[in-house]
Amino acid sequence: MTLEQTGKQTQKSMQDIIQLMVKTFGQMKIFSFEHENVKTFTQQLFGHIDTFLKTHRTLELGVEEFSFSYNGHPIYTDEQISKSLPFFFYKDGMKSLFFYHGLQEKEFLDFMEIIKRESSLPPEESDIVSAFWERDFTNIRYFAPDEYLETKIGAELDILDYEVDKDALFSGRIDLSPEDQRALRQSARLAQDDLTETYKQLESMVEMESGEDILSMLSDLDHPELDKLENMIQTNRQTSPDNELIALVIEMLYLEKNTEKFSRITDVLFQCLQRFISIDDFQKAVNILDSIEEVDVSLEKDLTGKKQVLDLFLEKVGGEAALMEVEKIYQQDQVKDETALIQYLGKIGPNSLPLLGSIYEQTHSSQTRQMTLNLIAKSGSQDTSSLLNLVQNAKPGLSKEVLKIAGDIGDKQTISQLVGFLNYPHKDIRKATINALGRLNDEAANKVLAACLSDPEEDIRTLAIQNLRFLGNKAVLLRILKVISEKDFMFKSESEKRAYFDYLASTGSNEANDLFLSFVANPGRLARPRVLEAGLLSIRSLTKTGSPAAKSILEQGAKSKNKKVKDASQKALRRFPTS
Amino acid sequence: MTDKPKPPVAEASESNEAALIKAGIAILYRFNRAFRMSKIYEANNLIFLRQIQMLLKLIGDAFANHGAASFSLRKNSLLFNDTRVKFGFSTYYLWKFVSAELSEKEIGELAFDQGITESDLVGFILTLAKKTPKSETPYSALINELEAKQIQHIHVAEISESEKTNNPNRAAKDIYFLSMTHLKDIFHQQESTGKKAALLTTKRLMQSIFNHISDNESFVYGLTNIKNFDEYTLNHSVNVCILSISLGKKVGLDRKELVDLGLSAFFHDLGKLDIPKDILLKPGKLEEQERLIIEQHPHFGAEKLVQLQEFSYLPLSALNVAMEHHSWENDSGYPHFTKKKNINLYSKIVKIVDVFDAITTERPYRQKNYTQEDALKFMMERAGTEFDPLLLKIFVNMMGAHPVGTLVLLNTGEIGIVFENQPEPQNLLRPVVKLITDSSGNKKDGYLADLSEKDPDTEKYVRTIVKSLDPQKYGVRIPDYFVASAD
Repeated sequence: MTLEQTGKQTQKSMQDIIQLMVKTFGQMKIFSFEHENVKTFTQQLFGHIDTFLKTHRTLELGVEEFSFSYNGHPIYTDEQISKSLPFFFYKDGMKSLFFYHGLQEKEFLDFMEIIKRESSLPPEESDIVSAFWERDFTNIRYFAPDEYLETKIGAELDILDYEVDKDALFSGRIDLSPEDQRALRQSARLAQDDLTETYKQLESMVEMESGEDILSMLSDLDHPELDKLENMIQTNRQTSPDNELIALVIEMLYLEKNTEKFSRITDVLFQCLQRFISIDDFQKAVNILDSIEEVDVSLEKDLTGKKQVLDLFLEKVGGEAALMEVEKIYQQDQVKDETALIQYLGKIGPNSLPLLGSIYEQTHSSQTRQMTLNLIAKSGSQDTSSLLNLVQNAKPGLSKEVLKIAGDIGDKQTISQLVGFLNYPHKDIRKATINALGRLNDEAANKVLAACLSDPEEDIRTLAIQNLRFLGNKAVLLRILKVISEKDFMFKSESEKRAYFDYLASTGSNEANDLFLSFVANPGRLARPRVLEAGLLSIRSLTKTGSPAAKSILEQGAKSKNKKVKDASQKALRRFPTS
Repeated sequence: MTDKPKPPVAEASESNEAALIKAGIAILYRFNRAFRMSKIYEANNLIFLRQIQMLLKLIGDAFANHGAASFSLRKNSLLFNDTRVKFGFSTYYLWKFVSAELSEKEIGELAFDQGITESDLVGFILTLAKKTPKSETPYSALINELEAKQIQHIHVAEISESEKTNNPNRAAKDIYFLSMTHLKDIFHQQESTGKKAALLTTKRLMQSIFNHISDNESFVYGLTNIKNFDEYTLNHSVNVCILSISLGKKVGLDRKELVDLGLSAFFHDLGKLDIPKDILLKPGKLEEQERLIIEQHPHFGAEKLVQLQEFSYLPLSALNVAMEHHSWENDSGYPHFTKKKNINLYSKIVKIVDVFDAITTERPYRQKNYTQEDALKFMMERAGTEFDPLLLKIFVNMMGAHPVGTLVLLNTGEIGIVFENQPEPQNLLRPVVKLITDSSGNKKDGYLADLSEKDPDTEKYVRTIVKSLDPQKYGVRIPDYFVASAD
């Protein structure tokens, strides 16, 4: 083959490579890097380049504005800026691209991946030369002279320069001071002798080493120092940039005296917080809020308005927009660390209650559910109205827990809200509401409960009376006594009746005791089965109270001529608590 | 002697890469030893020959274990058997040595044949180490000499055009002033607001500074002798940026980290924009209130940086450095932190360089600035209290016993400026010096004299430093000589 033929063949190989490179670039713009098309093209391209390098060892590609050249001859041109591969390299100042023999497939794939990544960025944000520089390929190099920077920086400004008058610089004299002249005379010869000797000593020291431990011998640092240095570098590499950023910005808050600047820093911190949330790093968001709390404490006596800025910050954090972002992340099933999320919401306060409700309903973790519940209780105690907004007919499980919490909190302001739940179709919610009302120990709650005594459903009625509390108001007591005295009462179920008697016994009132006595100590009436039943229920309820009045009634029952009442009373007295 | 034959090259796999690099460094180390000794001893000297034998064995081992022994230079990198050799703190001087020697002769590749002999190595090293007049075609001159010596088993190839830098000093000087212009632009944008800072360009600039430091370290150090040009803070920031990247490189940071460090150093004094100029430039002692205002510039700077719209382009360390570059090792300094305990590594590096550049710069509030040597002594006294002692030690080693830019009186009566320090420990006191006067004190555009050079007849050094001189005392503007050598 002649030289000319060889040259033509090389040119053809280069053209094939470039065509394939452009096609691969086109595929990469459409498909992901993992796509089969991209993989196939990339492998083919590597194969071509590898073959070329086996023969030629170096592949040098000239990069012009819209074309690639080889050996000074254009081999590919594309003037469409948006898709031109030559322009993509050229725009960042690249003049030549080199592939060297020894190129590994992995290295080539990295190269292509960088092209893919950078080409997907907006032009003003991408810099292929910078990206190649960072990756520092072994067998792929580029040539991008500094003129590129001159065009960038010098576009609008005159580049500073420093001119030297060489004639002045290298003409004239320097006359040594007497002191320096003396030093020259006295020291020059001595210094030379000493240093010659020192040099020889150093040489002989070098000769003594075996060559095994070259690194330590050549270093100016000893082993412990090198270890320390390595440790410093590693520590620096392992430091979490995010934590570092938080620490720095928080320090800025401590240091800043100007309220306006202080406010701008909190804006930065808010952006950080949002970023952490968007990447599901709630632990860092918690760290920010913890730190803010500390800054807030330090500002206790501050009068410059910085404390108000922090309040605004926290308001924004707990605001609807910010919480919607959190909810979005949660609903997308992106939260990996639910504990951190709960901790974060714990910092937000009652505004987070709706989201906590969703988490309680949706989480698969019993631990998360319990943590959520604890937080609902905590945040709910600060705002029971928001807490009760979580009660929904469609969410009986959550609603029951919420109502239980509301009962524990005992906020009497919630009664009107609770009344509404008594109309909910879901019976469990109604029951939980009755329990919550009972735990309020409140006359108004008692009135609501008393109204439930006429509920058509027995278990609701029973629960209502079980939750009635005698707080001195006799209106409800009298109503109960009236119910018991009515004929229909005897047709109620044993459990409902038992509840009525328990209520009466709990009141310890004279009216109730008189009624109990009438059931226990009236042998004539006891012959009637329903009165006997009432008597026995009275004995049971009285036993539970443990009061002296109850004991007195039971003592009378123990003397009853009715054997059942007598036995039951005696038995009750044996179990009666001694004071 | 052929021009560019290639021995078969072993493909480096991940598993043998470390062993290959180790073998390459071992050869370089021994090559360096033999090269240095060839300048002192005769070719038949036993100490020199012992080095040659050890080198020969290492080359033989490389053939046995890796199938080849060849080095090539590619854009700031050295490849051994086509595998890139990465240099650390302790081996960095070997890179400096090999890149300087090969570049000077325009050698792009150096390959040893399996049949290499002691005589080949002796001939080659003596040829390479020989002082020759500057040639327009150093590679051709070398080839001619190697052919004349009939060296059979060592092959060299010329460096490619793209690897050559036409005038590295000129290019370094251009980047220096380009950096200052760019920073001036950013500072003015910060003051006037509106336009966005072109931080992608800043990043490219840092990469370029890194390249120049790798190619031409001493000259770039020399440029940092430029002080108070245009605005003090701009000039100072560029100097701090350059020396921080250099120190970071010596410390062992990787190139991406070095760019981050450079960016951080570049912006370390951004907060000074918020300090009134009449306080910044006030001659004499500051009032307490004024001092407190100055001491706010670290957190002002950090605040400015964190609010930059392009913050995502900036490394976080830029904030650290802006905030912490006046923090001391013993927890004093300013600002006083409420919670933060640890000082970032980059801040420690920039602190050292910042103080060094500041105290060697003439300022209106300071009666006299330190010479570089005095500055290092001053700083060494503060190792462990103000500065991290280990980093400071590396910095002092980096700057050398006579830092680049030191004005020195030689035993010949000539006056010179240190232009380059020599990496070998035994040559710490024997830098390369630009002669600026003759022995009678007449100024001249002298050549670069290597103070490790000996008179072959007497075996005594041709020149030795008697003492360093105060440039201010003699009215010598050190940076002028560096700038002049770039043109």
